Amino acid sequence: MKQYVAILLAFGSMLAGCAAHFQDVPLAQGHVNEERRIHSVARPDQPVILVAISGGGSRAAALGWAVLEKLKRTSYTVGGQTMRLIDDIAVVSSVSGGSVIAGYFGLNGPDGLDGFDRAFLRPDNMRALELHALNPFTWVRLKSTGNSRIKLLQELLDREIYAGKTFDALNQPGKPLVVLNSTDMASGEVFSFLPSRFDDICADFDAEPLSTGVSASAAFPILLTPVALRNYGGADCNSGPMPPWITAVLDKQFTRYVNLEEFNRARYAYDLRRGPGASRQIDYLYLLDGGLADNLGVNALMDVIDSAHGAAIISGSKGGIETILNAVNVGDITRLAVVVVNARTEPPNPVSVKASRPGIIGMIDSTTSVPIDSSTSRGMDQVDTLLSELQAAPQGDAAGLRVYKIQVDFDLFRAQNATEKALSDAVKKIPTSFSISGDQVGVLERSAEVLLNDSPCFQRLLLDAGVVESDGMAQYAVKGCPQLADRPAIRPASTDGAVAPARAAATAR
Amino acid sequence: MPGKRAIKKKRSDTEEPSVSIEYLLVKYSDQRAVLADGDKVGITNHTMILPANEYSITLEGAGYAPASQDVVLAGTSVMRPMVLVFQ
Repeated sequence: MKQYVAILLAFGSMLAGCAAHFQDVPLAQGHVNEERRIHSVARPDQPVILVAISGGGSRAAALGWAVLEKLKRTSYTVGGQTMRLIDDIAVVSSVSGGSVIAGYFGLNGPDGLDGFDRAFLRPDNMRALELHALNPFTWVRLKSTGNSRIKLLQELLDREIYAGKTFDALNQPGKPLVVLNSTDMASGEVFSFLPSRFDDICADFDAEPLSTGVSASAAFPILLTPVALRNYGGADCNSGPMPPWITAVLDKQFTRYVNLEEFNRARYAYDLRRGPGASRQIDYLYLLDGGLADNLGVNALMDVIDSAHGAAIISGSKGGIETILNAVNVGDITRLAVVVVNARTEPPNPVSVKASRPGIIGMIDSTTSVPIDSSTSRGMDQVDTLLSELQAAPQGDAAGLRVYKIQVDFDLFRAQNATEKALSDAVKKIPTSFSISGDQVGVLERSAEVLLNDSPCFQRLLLDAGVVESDGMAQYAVKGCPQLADRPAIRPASTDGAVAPARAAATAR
Repeated sequence: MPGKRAIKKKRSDTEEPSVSIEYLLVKYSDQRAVLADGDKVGITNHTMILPANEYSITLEGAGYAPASQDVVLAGTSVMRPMVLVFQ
C-alpha cells in the first residue's frame, strides 16, 4: 500500500493546483431529476431488505458481493411461488469499496451478479492503476483536460464494469435504490448520489456517469484526488422552487433543538441552493471517500428509513408510492431486515509497538484511517438504537413490525471455533486495496456464508418466511432474534383505542 | 458535528447517543391519512413513529377541525405517545 501511496503522491504533485475538471452537467431547461426507482411490496408479510456495505477496497466489494450472492441463493415459497431474498432488497447504501459492488448490482441486477468476480475481483486493479499513473502520456493527457488521478479510477471502473453507463441506467422502476455516499471535503457532510441532492446543485442526475459516483465514494484521501462537481444551484435553476420542507425546517422555532440532524440537513440543502442569507457560499464541491463521514453507509440508510420527506420508493399493497416510514406506519411493511456488511479489519498497527515516532507516511495513514474506523463504530451504535426503537414501536400488537438486524462483521467470528478463527485470521491479512487474490475472495465468500448462517436474525428471517432447517435452528432464531410478536400483547392504557401499524394494515383491508 | 444523527440519551442509561424516534397518535372519527408538514406519514387512530421534530399536523381531505395542529414531537415513548385529536 505504501508504495502505491508514494507513486501516486509523486504523480499527484505534478498535477497539483490544476484547474479542476467538473464532472457534472447542469439540468436542461424544463428538466427535473425524478426518482423513478420503485420497490413493490405485494404483501405486508413480504420482507423488505435494506443493505449497507462498508468501505474497505476490494475486500469490501468482495464481501458485499458474497452477501448478495448468498441472498440470491436463498429462496422461500409463498402461495406456490418461489421468491429469492435478493429480490426483496429495496435499498443498498454504500461507501468506498462497497460502492463498487453496489453500483454493479444496481446496474446489472441479481442475475448479473455472477460476472462481478471475473470483471472486477480477478484483475490486478492496483497494477493497472500503477501502470497508468507512471505513464508520462497519462500525465499530459490528464493535465491537458484538467483531470487528476481520480480519473484513472473512473476509467478503470468504466473499462472493467460500468461501460460508461450513467445513473439513468440505475434510476429505473423495479431497481433497488442504490445510494452511493461520499464526503463533501469542505463541510464534512455526507454527499449522497441521489436525484434530490442533484436537484440541490441543479445538476443532471441521470446524465452523471456511474463511475463518477463510485469513485467519489472511494476517493481515499491523499491516495486519490477528490471528484469535483460544480454547483449550478441558485434562483435561476430549472429544477423548480425550493422544496417546502427545507424552508419549513429552517423557519421552525424548535427543530434545531430537538433534531439537529434535520436542521443541518435542511441548512446544507439551503446553502447548496443558494437560498437568501445562506450560511455558506458553495460554488464547487470536492468529494472524498464516504468513509470519512460514515464508513458503514448507514447514515443514508437511516435517513431512508425514518425521514418523513425521503424518497418515495415503496409501492404497497394499498396502492400509491410511499416512503418507507409511511409504509411502516400504515402496515404496508411488517418485516424489515437491515443487513450491515462491515468489511473493516483490525490489522496490527505498528505505531503502538514502536519506540520511534511515526514518519510522514505513518501519520498520513493514521489521520486518514482513524476517522474512518471511528465513524464505523459510531454508525453501528446508531443502527442498533434505531432498530430497537422501530421494533418497540408497535408494542401491544401481536402482528407488529418485525425487525431483523443482520450483521456481517468479522468481529463476530468466534475465537473458540476453529473454522471461524481461521477465517478471522485470514481476513485480517487482506489489505485495503483494489487488488485481491482468488484465495482471498474465497475466504470472503466463506466468511459471508458463515456469518449469515450464524446470524440469529438471518435465521429468524428464514424461519418467518417458512424456511426452517431444523428445530434446533428454529429455537436458535427465536431465542437470538426475539420479536414483539413472540410475547403476549399488553395494550398501553394511554393510547385508548390506538392500533399499532401492522394491525392498521389489517383493518384498512 | 456534520453528518451525525439527531441524538438523545439512550434508554439503556449508557452515554452513547441514539437516534430519536418518537411516537404519535392522531385521533379522528374516520380513518384518514395523517400528514406532517404536508408529507404522508401514517393514518389516524394508529400509533405511528416519526423522527423528533416540530411538525404541522394535518389530515388528508377536508371537513375536520382544527385545520392543523403545530406540535413539538419529542420526549414520547411507546407507552406514552403524543396524542392529537381532530373533530
